[in-house]
Amino acid sequence: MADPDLFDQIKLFLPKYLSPDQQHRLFAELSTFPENRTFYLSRSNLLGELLQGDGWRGFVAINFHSGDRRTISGMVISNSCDISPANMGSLPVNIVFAPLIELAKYVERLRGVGKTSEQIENLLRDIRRQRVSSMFFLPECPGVIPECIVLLDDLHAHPLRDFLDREKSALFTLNQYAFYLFLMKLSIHFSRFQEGAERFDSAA
Amino acid sequence: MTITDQRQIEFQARGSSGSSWRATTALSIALIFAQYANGLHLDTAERRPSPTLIQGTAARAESLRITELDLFAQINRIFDGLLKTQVDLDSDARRALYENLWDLYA
Repeated sequence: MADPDLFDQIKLFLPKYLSPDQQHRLFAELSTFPENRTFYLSRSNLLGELLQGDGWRGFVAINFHSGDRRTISGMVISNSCDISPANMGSLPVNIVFAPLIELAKYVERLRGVGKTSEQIENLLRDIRRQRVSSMFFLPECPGVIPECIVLLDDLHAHPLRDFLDREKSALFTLNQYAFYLFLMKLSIHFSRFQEGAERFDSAA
Repeated sequence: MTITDQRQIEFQARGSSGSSWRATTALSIALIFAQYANGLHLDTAERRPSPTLIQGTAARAESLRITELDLFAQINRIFDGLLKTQVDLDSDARRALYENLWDLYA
């Protein structure tokens, strides 16, 4: 049997401030993964907050190869606290974001390189079930974004002060269920205990 | 047998993996949420703290504990599933995506 304290330790990291109704809703949403595509809060709940996992239009991406810059839509990767204006003070802070990529445009490219319909359907199924390790899938948010992906190895930084000052618009905010999925994907992509490298000095 | 022991047995009965794997995964989940426990914002309506949550009888507290277990079991199930099923893009699919990636930005 595992350490008797393990369960109590785990409890510390579960949501503590949810009402019973919210707990039941969260349970229902989690229990229907991966079919559940209800990812977003309604717009009335956006409140202009800048939170991890949010989608915004107004990020500036810089093309590494050409040096071009463009205003695009992206998803906030930075931790919410790190980019809170209340915590920023006079210190420079960057907001890390991942550009949104429309899934339909990627499908067009897959057709262009000769992928069969079956191969594309299989890949789309993996993407929608969050099985592709380097990307996070975003279902359609009606009237806001079509189905999109963000690449966890294509991250950009935008000075927070500049982002706050420029014209921008909120696209979506992840609900609790989708936020947890996002954290799990981030963890799996960036943090692997079994990396296979022996990080010890050689024996003398 | 304490209530915690009983809950652990219930939890183990729900799990589909071996105990050592479960413990490892549970630790992983705990580590993930340890990173975010202090920083998690509850500002929106969906995440707003409920001032009544910790009030009530012992029976109500017990009921909440069971619900927390259910939440954890689901989070554990999803994390397990994701860990076991992650795949990489094949070379053609990767090339199609990353060549001129700039042009795909929304």
